[in-house]
Order: sequence, then structure tokens, then C-alpha cells
Amino acid sequence: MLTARGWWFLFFVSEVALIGVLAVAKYAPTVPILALTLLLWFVGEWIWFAVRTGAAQTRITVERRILQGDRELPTLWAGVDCTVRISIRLNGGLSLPFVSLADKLPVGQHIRSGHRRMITRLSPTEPVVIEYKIHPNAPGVIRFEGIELRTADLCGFFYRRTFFRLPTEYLILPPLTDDDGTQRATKRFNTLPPPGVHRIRRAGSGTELLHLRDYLPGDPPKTIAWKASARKDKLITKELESDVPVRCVLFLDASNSTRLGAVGHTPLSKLAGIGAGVLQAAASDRDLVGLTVFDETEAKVQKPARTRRHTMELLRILAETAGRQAESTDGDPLTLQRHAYSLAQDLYPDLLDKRSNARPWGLFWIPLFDSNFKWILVIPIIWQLINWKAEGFNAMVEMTREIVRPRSLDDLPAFLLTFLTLMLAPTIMTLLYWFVFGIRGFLPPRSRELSKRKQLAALFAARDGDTPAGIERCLHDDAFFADKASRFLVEHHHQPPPKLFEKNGDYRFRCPGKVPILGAALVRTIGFARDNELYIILADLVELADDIEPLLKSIRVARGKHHQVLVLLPWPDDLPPPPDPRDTEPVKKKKKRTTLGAVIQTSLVEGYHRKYETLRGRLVRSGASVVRVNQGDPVRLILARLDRIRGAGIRR
Amino acid sequence: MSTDDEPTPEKKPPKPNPYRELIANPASRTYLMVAGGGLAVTMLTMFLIGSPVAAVLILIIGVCGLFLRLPAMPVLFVLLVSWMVFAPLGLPFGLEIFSLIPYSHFRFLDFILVGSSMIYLIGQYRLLSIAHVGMPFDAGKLFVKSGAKPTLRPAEAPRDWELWMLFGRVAFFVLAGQLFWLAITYFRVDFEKAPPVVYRVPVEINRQPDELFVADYLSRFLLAFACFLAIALVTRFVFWYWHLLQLQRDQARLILVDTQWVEDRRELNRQEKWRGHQKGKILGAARAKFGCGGWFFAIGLPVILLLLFLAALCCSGGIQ
Repeated sequence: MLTARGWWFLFFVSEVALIGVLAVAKYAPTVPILALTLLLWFVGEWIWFAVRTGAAQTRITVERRILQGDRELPTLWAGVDCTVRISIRLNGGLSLPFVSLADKLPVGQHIRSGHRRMITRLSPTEPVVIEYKIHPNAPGVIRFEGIELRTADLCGFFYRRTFFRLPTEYLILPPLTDDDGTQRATKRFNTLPPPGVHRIRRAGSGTELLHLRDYLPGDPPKTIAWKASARKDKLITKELESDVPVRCVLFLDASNSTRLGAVGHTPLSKLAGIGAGVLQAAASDRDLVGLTVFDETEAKVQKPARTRRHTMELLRILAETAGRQAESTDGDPLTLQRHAYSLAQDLYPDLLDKRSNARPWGLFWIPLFDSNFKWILVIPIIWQLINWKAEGFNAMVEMTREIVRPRSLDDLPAFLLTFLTLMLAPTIMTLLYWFVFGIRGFLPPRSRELSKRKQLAALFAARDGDTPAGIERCLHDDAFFADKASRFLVEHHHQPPPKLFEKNGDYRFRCPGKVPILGAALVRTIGFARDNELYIILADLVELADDIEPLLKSIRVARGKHHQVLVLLPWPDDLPPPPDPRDTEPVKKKKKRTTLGAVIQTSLVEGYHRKYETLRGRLVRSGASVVRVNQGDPVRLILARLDRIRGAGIRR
Repeated sequence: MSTDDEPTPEKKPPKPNPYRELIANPASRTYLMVAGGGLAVTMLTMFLIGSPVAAVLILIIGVCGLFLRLPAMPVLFVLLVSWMVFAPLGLPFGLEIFSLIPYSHFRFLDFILVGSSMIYLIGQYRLLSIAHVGMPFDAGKLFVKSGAKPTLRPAEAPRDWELWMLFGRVAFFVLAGQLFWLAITYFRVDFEKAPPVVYRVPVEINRQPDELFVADYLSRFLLAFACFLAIALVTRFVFWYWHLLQLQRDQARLILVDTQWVEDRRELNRQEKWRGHQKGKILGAARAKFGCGGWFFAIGLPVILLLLFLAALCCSGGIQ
């Protein structure tokens, strides 16, 4: 609470007061009077500051409003500026003369205009309004944590920081494409059917003629082609094509591998954005769109439909999915602890305070019995046993007499002391060892890290409604603590630093479990399909190039049923695209100094390219089309493919 | 009202002239005048006390503090004034033989000196909050980026009541200081009485230690210390109770869980150790061959064998 300025002032004035009262008062009473007056003033200021800040804790009300297009909305749209307006009001009679109020920005967001921090005075008559604009550019979820209040007295002696937690989450829906946006591509066919239908060359109840055939008894008279019948001189029946709606099903990969990265810049966000574009464009053409979100454990299915409500529901699901973050439960506990502690210091300063979060001294003591050196405690017993059995007592007395040589009763204390020292030497040494062993726990960095872990453990227990056993378990069980810390970070939209590779060099985020789930979901969708449909798989499969057999089987089934399958693969931003095999000219490479890092990077990039080519080859051989996400405009490409399906039946 | 963060302006603004800022800013201008006034009266009082050297030194300190904004100056001011009051010529010559304490109560010059000093200090510190550092950084010094701007008090003219409160506060504490001094000089500690405080008018000659149990200076110190201790204890108790009254749900829950943990810590610790032990057993060969057990084999076993050998030797009469 005291600032450096306050400490210095207190120290010097106390010194002057002490010297003044004890020594100088007799000669110059003004000195103690001055010092004591200043000391009283300082104490009075301290109490007054504590009263004002304490009273403000429960009397501040904060109201947050998020506006988009001058309207307050429960959900926001990506790609559109939104205004954050926060009104802070202090109720009651006391005011705070010098405060710094700051809204904590959601992770991954940047301010377009305005300010999120305001330094002002806070009084009951003058509410403070903070207003700024952000531009959410990716679908997902943004979380506003609350308001930070820093207050100081006017002289700068005292300072206090508190955080008003007002966690609010807003869904950022994918960008709303307008009619002139990325809807339909170029016009590819002259005879496009009405929106929402495409023709299939099977007998049905459409409007276009499929073919003519001889009349069969039972054919309805209205199907008789009278002109043709007149020409052939026998009854001819006309059969019409089927008019069926276009159905497009999106398969969105929400596994851990797509959730890696900064908030709003994950592959999943990109895939969700593409999915949203396709979804809206297809919906505006009245095509039916379905969505299947899958990960390593399950697949959630939304059946194809074309209503506005269905479209909004799918957009919501896409936004929620895009907001998911990678879960890394087996991360390094120390690294997780450091990240979680700094976050907790920001958001939960009151719960880390030692008034509510105790750190007893016994916590830091290292018990000898927990170590592998506990056998040392056996030494005194064995020593006494040896003494007893080998008449060591007499030997000790003799030895003591040799050392001290007592001549009178005055030498008795020295004699006894020497004797006891010799007799109990191993015990004393053991006790000394036990003490040194235990006291090490109070030394940093162990004590510092243990203290932080205890604080976090209590915080987690209070938030999750755990029993006190949860605190103790966090202190002993690294995996349990890492899980809690990881969930804490993810909940606050802070990506814990992931451990990407195993010790043997394997990539940890391959997520092979998602392939059979995707395959099963695809087969299930095919089971409900009617005619030529389009399945768009938005998935990160490059690392699984050799393990996609279940998916290939499903794709073959789809192709066997005349459906089309398009696989969209996210491509890392920092990775160059694979070389185009059509390029025959050799690329001139700049000469660079070869370093170990460059060699490893080149090797990794080449490995990734190799896997991509393998995957692409296998998928193409199964009949699927493969597109990289950073290759042209994937939304336009998909829409063009939809148009092709729409027109496929009428290409003669 | 001011803001101090993003967005960063594209054009770098010209570097402001700190002296012009000091005058242009209505807040700093006001406190500059307040502190300057306090300083001038202090100088005058020091002249009256008979210490022109002190007046000059105070002027230097005041200029350094107010215009160069050196944060150490207020503390130096207190030390300098105290020393110069004790030794007006700079060195402690001609100290009085008799005690001046009986004549030290409610003196006009003391009122003026203490009041003006307080006004200077308040003005100087408030000026530092406006022009130097208003609030400290949250992070430690090591973690603050170089060039990071500290939080300053906004450049708004202080309200009228703020100045009235300032002068009112000074008057109150000057009077309180005099009363406090009166109390610790007119009351004396006497451990032979209960309560161990007696009323005794101060005299010019200090009493001998054998006359009373506690000497004058020690009595003053004990009384002052006891007063501050009492203030601290009462304040602590009041704030503790107030904190309990204001507890929020999260804090209350945390305190309950944490208190229970503190009470049951030893038992919970034992359970967790057993859990870890069982977990290790279930995992089987979780420990490396020469991991934790390696120490035992390397050191423990040889020592135990040695001790057993010695014991056996003793039992068999080898050592007599």
C-alpha cells in the first residue's frame, strides 16, 4: 500500500521524531514537535486513504455496453467496428481524487480509436465514461474481464490496485457477406435453374424434358406427348427431369491441431470463416447447407436446411467453435504456473492477498522423511546400540577424562559438557542435518515457486468449489495442477504455451483420433443423402497423411454414390507453399550462411511439403479434390463447384 | 481527466518544455504557488529564529524540488529544518543547560514553522504527483520497460474545496501535534503506579533517573510509542472488522477453504503422500533405475552395511 515515496518519508520523519523525542527535545523542542506533527499527518492521511478506497470497493458500479451500428447487440459481427462503452459510477458520499481506470482488452483485440484507460477523479456526482472502438476481425468469442482500478492519494504516499471482475463473453459471428460479396462466382452455365434447385437426370416431376418413351398402361394421361404420339402414330409418354435442391454439407475440424495459435489467428478461425462464407452464399441461393463439427472425440451434426434461422444457428455454432482453444493438459507445470500466476495477479489481486490466501511457514519446511536420506535418522540409534553393546559408555568416560582431566568439582560442568558432546555427537550431527535439510525449503527459488503454487491452488479450489484437499493435491500432484492451470488459462482466453513435440520428436498435436470420427460422420451423412451432393471437409490432415485410411474409404463411398468431395487444408502462415510441379525453371537460391537452425527449418519445411504431397495424392486418387486454404479464394472456388453441381445435370 | 495509452500517434510530437508545462498546467501552477508560499514563510521563520544560512539552504532545496522536481528534496527539507532549528548556525554551539520543554507549548513561531513546513511538503508532493510520478508502476523496477511513462495526475485545476481542505488539514494537524507534544511532556510514565501514567508539570531541570523509575526522555519516547501503537492497533482492528463486513462472495469462499486447509494441512498432506505412493506403485516402473532409489543404493546401503558390520563386530567382542 505504501509507495517508495511513502516509505522514504515515513523512515526519515520517524528517525527525526525518535532523535527529537529522545535527545534533542531538551535543546530544541521544535524538532520533535515538527516531526511528531508530520508523523500524525502521515498516519491521518493513511487512515483517510484506507477509508476512501475501502468504501469504494463495494460502492462502485460498472456498466458495460457493446454497440455495433449504434445498437446494443448480444452478439457481434466480425469485420465490423464495435464500440465499447463503460460507465463507472461511485455511489455513496466519499470520492476518490486520483484514480486510473482501465478496461482490460479482450485477448487478440486492438483498439481502433478511443482510449481504454482514463485517469481522473471519481466522485458520486460525476460518473466516468470510457469509450473505445475495436475491430473484431475473426469469428470466435471475445471475453471482457473487467475494470482495473488504481488509486493513489494526492501526495503519492499510498497506492492501491483492485480489479472489478465483470466477465462478459460476446460471440463474434463470422463476417456477414452481402449479395455483392463472395456469393456466386462467374456465370458458367447459360441455363441455370431457379435458385434452390438443380436438375438431376432421373425421372421426376421437374419441368425439363428428360426423354420420351412408349406409353405404358397406368401412365397418367397428362404425361402423354401428343405431338410425338401423332408423328409416331402411337402413344408416347414424356418423362421429365427431377428438380432437387442442392445440398452442401460442411465438415469442420475442431480438433486440438486446428486450435493452436493466437486467439483469432488459429487455423480453426480461418476454416470457420471460410465455412461461414460458403454457408451464407449457399443460403442466399436457397441451397441447403448442413454442418458437422468434429474433433478427436465426437462429431456434432446439423442437418441441411435452408431457413434463415438455420443459417443463424450455423453461424453461431461456427463462432463458438472458432472460439475454442487448444487444451494442453500435460504441459510443464512450472511454465503453466508462471503464466497462470501473472494472469491471476492481474485479475484476482484480492484473492492472492495473504489476508485471505495464507502461506503458513510449515508449508516451506522440507521433511527429511520424504526424502531418500531418511536412513540418516537410524545413525543415532545404531550409535547408541554400539555404545551399549561395546561398553561404549565406559570408553566415553575414559575419553572425556583424557580430554578434560577433572581435578575438582569446578571442572564438573566442562566434564559433563564434553562427555555429552562425545556421547551425543552423532545425534547432534543428525539433528543438524535434519535442520539444514528442512530449512532449505525457505530459500528461493523453491519457496517463491511453492508460495505461488499455493496461492494458485487456493484460488482454483475457491473458483471450482473444491474442498481443501484440492489445494493439497495441487501442491503434490503436478498433473492435477497442470490440468487446473491449463483450464484456468483457457477459460480466460490465454493460450498456455503448448509443448509441440514429444521427447522422441513426434508432433503432439496430430490428433489421429479425428480421422475415424470424420470417416464415420461422412458415411452417416451419405446415408441420409439423396442425390449428387457436395461434401466440404475443412480439416487439418497433413500430419496424418499416412493414417487416413478410414477417411479414404468414406470418400470412395461418397464418390460411388456420385457425390462430390472437396477437402480444404489449412496452411500455416509462416510456411512457404509447396513447389509447383509445373514449374520447370529451377529456382535461384540466394546463398546464405548455413546454420543449424536453418538446416532444421529447411528439413521441417520439406517434411511438411512431402506429407502434403502424399496426402494430396491419396485423396485425389480416392476421388476428392484438394485445395489449400491460402490458395486463391476458397469460398469462390467452393461456390463455383456448387454451380457446377447445379448445372451438372443439364450439360449435354 | 486524461488518458495515457494507445493509439500511438503517427507524428512524434515536439518535446514539451517542462518549465513551461509547469506554469501552463493549472494544477501544477496552483501547487507551485502553494508550495512556494509555504517555503517563503519557512524561510522567514528561520530568519526570525536566527538562522540566515538555513533560509538560503531552504531556498536552494525549494528551487531544486519545485523546478527540477527532484523527489528527494522534501525529505532533505525536513532534515535541514530540523537540524537548523537545533543548531541555527549549522553547528551545535552553545546548547542550553536547562531544558526548554516547559516553554515549548503553543509557541507562535512553532505554529508558523510547522504549518508552513507542512504546506510546503503537501504542495511539493502534490506537484511531484502532477509532474513527476503520480502512481508507481505495478511491476517491479526490473520489469518496467525503459521509456515507459509513469501515471501522472491529470492537468486539471484543483477545486476550491481541495485547497480549503488542504489548509484546514494543516491547521488541524498543527494543533494535533501541539496537543500530542503537550500530552507526552505533561504525562510521565511511572511503573510504580497503576495505570503507569502520572500527571507532572515539566521543569527546567531534568529529573534524575533515581528520583523516578523512568527518565524524562524515555518517558516521552514510551508515551509517544504507546500512542502510535494504540492508534495502529485500534485502526488495525477497525479495518479488519470492516474488511470482514465488506467481504465479497469469492473472498469469503476462498477464506473458508483456505482456513480449513490450514487446519487440516497435516492430515491432507499425509493423504496426498499416500496417494502419490500408491500412484507410483500402480504405475510400476515409473521410477528410473537409478532415479530416486539410486541414492539409496549408492550411499545408503553401503553405510548401513558398514554400521551393521560395526555392530556385529562390537557384539562379537571385537571392540572392547
